[in-house]
This record gives sequence, C-alpha cells and structure tokens, in this order.
Amino acid sequence: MHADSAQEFQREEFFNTHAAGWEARNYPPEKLRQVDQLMSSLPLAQAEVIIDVGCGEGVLQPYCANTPARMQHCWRLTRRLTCCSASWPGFPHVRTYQARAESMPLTDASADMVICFSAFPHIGDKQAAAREFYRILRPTGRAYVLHIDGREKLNQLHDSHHAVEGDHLPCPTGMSIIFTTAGFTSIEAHEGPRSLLFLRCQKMSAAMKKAAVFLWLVLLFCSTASQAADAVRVVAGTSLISDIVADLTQNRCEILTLNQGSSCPGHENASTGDYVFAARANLLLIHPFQRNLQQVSAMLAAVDNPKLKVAEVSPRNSWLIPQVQKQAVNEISRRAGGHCPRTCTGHTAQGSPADATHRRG
Amino acid sequence: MQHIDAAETQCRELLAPLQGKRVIAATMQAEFASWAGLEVVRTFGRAEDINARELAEILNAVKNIPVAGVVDNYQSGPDAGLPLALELGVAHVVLSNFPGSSDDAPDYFSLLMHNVRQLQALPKP
Repeated sequence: MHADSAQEFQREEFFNTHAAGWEARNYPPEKLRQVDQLMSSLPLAQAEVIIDVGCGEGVLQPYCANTPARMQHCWRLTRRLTCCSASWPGFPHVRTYQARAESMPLTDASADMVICFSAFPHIGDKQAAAREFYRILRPTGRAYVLHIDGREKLNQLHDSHHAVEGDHLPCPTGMSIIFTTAGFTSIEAHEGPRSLLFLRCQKMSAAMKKAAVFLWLVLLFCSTASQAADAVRVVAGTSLISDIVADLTQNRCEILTLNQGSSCPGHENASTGDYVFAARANLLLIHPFQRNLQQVSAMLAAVDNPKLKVAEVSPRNSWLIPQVQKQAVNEISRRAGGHCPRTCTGHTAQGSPADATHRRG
Repeated sequence: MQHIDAAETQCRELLAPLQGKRVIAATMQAEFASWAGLEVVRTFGRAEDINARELAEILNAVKNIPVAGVVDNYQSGPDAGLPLALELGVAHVVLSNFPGSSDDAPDYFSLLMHNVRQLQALPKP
C-alpha cells in the first residue's frame, strides 16, 4: 500500500472508531462558547447555501439553523454517514454528502459559503481542497477555515497519534499561499489572541475579474520599458484608496499607503521610505483634499520621477457611504488610465472612457 | 458592486431602529451619521480645535433636545466629543473613516459594519 494511502486508511479508521460521541467529548461548554463567538462573526444570514466541510456530528448546525430559513440551506459533507445522519430532524434543508473535500459532488458555483471548522489539517491534499472550495463557490462566495485551538498545540496533538501524525494546520502565511494559488482574493489569515486560526477569502466575480484585468493592464501600461521587470507601484493617499486598488489588482501591485487608517490625513508627514517608494512609483492616487498638503506636495517636489502619474479621486463625500464607495471604485479604475501632469494642483486628469468598473461583484 | 449593495441593505436593516435619533456628531462623521438615518443636531471639530466655550455653546443649544448620543471621529481625536456625552449623560460612540484603523476593520466592508455596530450602541426606542 502506498504510504499516503496507508495514512489515509489509518486516518479513516481512527475517525470511524472515534466518531460516536466526538462532540460530547471534545466540545465542553467553554469550547462551545468559543465556537459560538467564532460563528457569530460570520455573515451566515447572507448565504443561501453553506457547505460545512468535515462536519462531524454537526456542531455547527445550530448556528446555521438560527439564520432566516428562507436564506438557509445548509449542506453537509462527511466522509462517514455513520457519524452524521443523512436526514436532520428539525433541519429540513440540510443534506449530507459522503465525499472527500478534494472532490465534492457539487456543481460549479453552487454555494455561497464554505466553512471548514476544525477539519482542514486532516485533508490529505489541501491545495486540491482549496481549489474545490473555489470551484463550488458562487462569484463573491467566501470560504472560511476556522479553528479554536492554537496551531502549535493542535499540531503537537496530532503528531502524538500515529493515525493523524503529520496532519498539520499550516501557518497563516501558508494558508494564504494555498488559497491565493487556488484563485481566492481578499484573503485574511491570522491567528487571534487565543491562537485560533481564522482564514477568510473570497472568490472573485466575473465583473471583478474584468475590472481587475482592466486596471492591471492600465497599470502595466503606465510602467515603462525600463521598469518592465519591476512590479507596478502605486502610492495611495489613504487606506480608502489602497483598499480599492488592492482589491482591483488582486494585490498584484506594490502599494504604499501614505496615511494609514489610524492617523488623520491632514496631520501626517511623508517618511524617507515614502520618498524612495514614490521615486520609483508609476501612479499616485490621492483625494482632492490631499493635493495641497505638505505631505504630498513636498514629496512630489522632491522625487525625480517624470513617469509618475498623479490622479485625484474626486468623490468628496464620505466614502463609507455605499453609493460613494461605488463612485470611488469606478473613478479609481478610470483615473488609473489617465495621463495627469506631474502636479497635484489644478491638473486635468483624463480618465479612460472605460468606466464600467465593477468591484467585488 | 452587488456586494456593496448587499452591504448597504444589511446596514439599512441594522440601522432601522435608530432612524430619526438625534445626535451630536464630529464634523467628519456628520454625513455618514445622516446617511445612517440619524438627525445631526450639532457638529463639532477636531479635539485640538474644540474649546470650553464651544462645548458650552453646544450644550446650551441642545438643552431642550433629546439627544441620543455623541458621535466622534476616530481620526479627529476619539475623545473630542466625550465631554459632551458625559455632560449630557448620553452614549458616546466612535466611528472611523479609514480602513485599517483597527484590527477588526482592515477593509471597507469590515469598516462599514464596524461603524454600524458602533451606532447600534445608541439607545433604541
């Protein structure tokens, strides 16, 4: 028997043997409180179809049931129907599948959310599973990999038992790589204060991909032949701008944010590092109120970068307001294609006629 | 764009109980507060710009108005409006205008929801 197959067999035998009563043994009240806290942070009410990968006895089911019934069709995947009944009394929308996470019997783009709770380390081919999550998710669908135990403790625990030895939970960076490679974007992978791992990522819609490709091509166009080997660099006036640019380019360009979210844009100075970055940047995107700020004007005067295009993003209202945010997304995509004079004052940026930017679906 | 629309719909639902509540807001949050359905009865500026006389004027102006809370702007000084809230004995909430201002609000969508959750701290009918 191949080593991987042998490991797979041992793992299955282990879980088959221990499946009954797993929840009662492993989820005392304090752990259930942690699960409760974790699940309450998810936008379950926005999903019609949720895939619970590696559902076990169904510890997540009560949380899904509390969402509006019309919104909720919670499906389950399990490798052993013995530990998870095929029909769920009280939960008529629940369906149970016996399947591997790497090849689920679900059609493309058929789910809104994938939750893999306390199961990811046991998936043999994690890259294949991430690709499968991506395949079954609808555009803008989200995948979550959740754990309430610390990674170090969990990996040590698994290594102490031959059946699950080597079933490791990757570090946040490793998780990001796995899910980025699978095609996901907007990836957040981090270990929280209690060492739980939270990974959230999103599938791009066709419109998002179109917008991203457009902006990416525009940014590439902005770069010169001499810089062709370098990454495209964008200086963003604030985190409002960098958030949108990062989304549209799928984090494929280098972004410097002049004003991080925690500071007031009118009360910051550019650092030496900002100047160095701007000297090699392709594009500077700012708010109108920033054009006369010392932070920006002094930086533009100091850096000798004739290739730096400067564009203002005009919405003056609060970008937090959804309709204004949409204007900003459109404008950033358009302005990125403009050929602005290298000044922040009184420029007349000519946007690309292609303004049909659609961000995040 | 659909995601933004969906977020707006969700926010509207969450903010529905707060419609028409009167608040005093930081200038940089007045527009968002109005979008959220609140009635901004007075505004105030940055923490370093506000003085005792201005605070007294605001308190005097709202003395017959049932103010539900004071909305501060994180980037303008999160405690600028705190003296007003304490004096009036009303809720004090701090909103942010920029992603990245806290660990749980790294992007637009999380920031929007963060702000809405803050506003939900205002007393409901």
